[in-house]
Amino acid sequence: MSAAVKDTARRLRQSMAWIHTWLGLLAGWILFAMFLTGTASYFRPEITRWMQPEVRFPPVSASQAAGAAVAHLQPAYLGDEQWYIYLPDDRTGATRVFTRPRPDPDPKAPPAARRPELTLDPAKGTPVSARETRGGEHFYRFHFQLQLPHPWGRWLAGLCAMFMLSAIISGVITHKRIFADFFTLRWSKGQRSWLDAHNVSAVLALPFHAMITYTGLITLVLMYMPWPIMANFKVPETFAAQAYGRGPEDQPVGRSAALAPIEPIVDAAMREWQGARPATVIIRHPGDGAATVTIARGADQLNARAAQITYSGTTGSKLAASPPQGAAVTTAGVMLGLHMARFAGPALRWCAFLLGLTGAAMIGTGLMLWTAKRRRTGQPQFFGGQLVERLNIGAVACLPAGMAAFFLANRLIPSGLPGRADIEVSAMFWVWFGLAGFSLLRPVQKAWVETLAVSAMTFATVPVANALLTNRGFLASLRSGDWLFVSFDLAMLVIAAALAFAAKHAHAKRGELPRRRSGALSTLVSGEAADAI
Amino acid sequence: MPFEAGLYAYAGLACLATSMGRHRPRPGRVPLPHPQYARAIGATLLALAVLTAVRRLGPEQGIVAGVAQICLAAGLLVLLMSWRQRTALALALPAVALATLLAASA
Repeated sequence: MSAAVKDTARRLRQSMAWIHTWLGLLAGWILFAMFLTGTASYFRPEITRWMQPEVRFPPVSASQAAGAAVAHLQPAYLGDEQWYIYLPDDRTGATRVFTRPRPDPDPKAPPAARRPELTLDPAKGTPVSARETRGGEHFYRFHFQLQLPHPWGRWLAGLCAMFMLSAIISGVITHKRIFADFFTLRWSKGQRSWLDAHNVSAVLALPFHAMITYTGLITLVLMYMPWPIMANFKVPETFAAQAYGRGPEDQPVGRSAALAPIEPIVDAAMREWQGARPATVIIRHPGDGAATVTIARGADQLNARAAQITYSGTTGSKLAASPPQGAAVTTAGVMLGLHMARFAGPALRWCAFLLGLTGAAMIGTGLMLWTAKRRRTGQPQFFGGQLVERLNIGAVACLPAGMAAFFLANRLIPSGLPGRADIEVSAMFWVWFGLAGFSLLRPVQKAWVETLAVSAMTFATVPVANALLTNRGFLASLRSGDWLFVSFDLAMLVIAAALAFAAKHAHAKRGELPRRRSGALSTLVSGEAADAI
Repeated sequence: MPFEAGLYAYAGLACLATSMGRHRPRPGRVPLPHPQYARAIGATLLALAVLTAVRRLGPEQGIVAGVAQICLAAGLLVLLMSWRQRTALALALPAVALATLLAASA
């Protein structure tokens, strides 16, 4: 290689390292929160089930659940425009329904809002009185809306995802020894260890990190870049009709007609899909002569854009099926499917969960590396360094406490209290930001130990609260073979143990350093000691 | 549980590690393949990992599951190697045996 080429490569690497450092740092704290809550969202229905311990039913067939739900909706909501029935599967365990009333004929009237969602007993169709909660939906929404008003949360999440993608690409270019350092992880070597941990968590799971970041960004691409559609379609609905094959929505004829039995319709759809389970039943204009029943397929395929079949609501005969998807729509559907992993069975879902944690570890170690690198130069801690250190504590050590507090609040807040779902969400943010605020009052090293310990304890308390306040504690669940609750308790304990290990490690580091006082380390040590006092 | 892809991947990556001077353990009771052979065996086991996942889940989901399990196996191997290097590498043998057993019974 000539000297000029070598020089160009070196300069490219340097500029990429600069981009990597600063984009990674600026977006790092939000990305850490997005990764952690997004990872929890792999278990969105399971979290919701855990947060509604009252909801517990034996599994029923899809057609039986649909029949029971229709029997419940028929007397009360026959005049509504549309019924949405989310059928239970082995993950959700209960039927959810909501309806949308017919719009006011007055053109000046505001559009009709959907009625509140109900949870139904899948076999009987009777409404279940369960505690009000956002459940797994809260982490899922937070991970791309960041609890900010629409559309700012999604824009900020998209900006952070752009930073992440740039950081991944620039990181790969910066990293000189991807293969030589592939298996290298050395502990207790200060900055070297943080670099090893950052490299290993990034490189080993690189296919996952690149996939999850890119597909996450693409999921909202029509919102981030609406211009291609605006330039080509005067009416946005034309785009939807062309891309997804949605025809103009039919109007009611005004002649009342009985709804055909739903069970044979659901069975017919299952036959067409070779036994695959339907996920959603949408009934338009129930009780009208023009009623239709649309059945959407469950998420058993890589493509998240599910196939649909529409049947006549009065005769039960098949009217239309969603047309074969074009290449672009299939690509978009597969990307969304890869991101959400709804197709994944339990084994693959746990793999995705662990890989998500690896992503959070990559971001966390990257943030730690930034401070470790600058502390080592021996300069007194400058304002920027202190700020980053404090924000690292707030994100890495305090967010887990907030997430555990969300679970804990679910068990502690009385189940009938009005507005309790919002209180649960507030509990997460009060604990998260409250603990971060408290940590500001403590010296940095102690703050790390204490916040990690509080996070560990909060997680460890969740199974205890569950055992004391519900009849579905660990032993009871073990006896009844309720693996969801058993796994949830075990997961809480493993997370608590991991956080306690981190707290112990941070504590040991704090005690260890002054003993190693020697020439090269003295400046570092005095900096650390000053922090610790 | 379809984890045989991850077990094959673990063994394959352990072979790749022993082919590298830095991670190659000093000769002991277990005979080590020559670095060149270790690399070839490692690559074969990684290919086998993806193939078993494809056989079980079909090409679309199999490739996704295979790659995911390779990534996780690599993470597990590196964590174990940083703690007990020899044991971590020696676990490759039971991993292959268990994976073959699982793949045969599937």
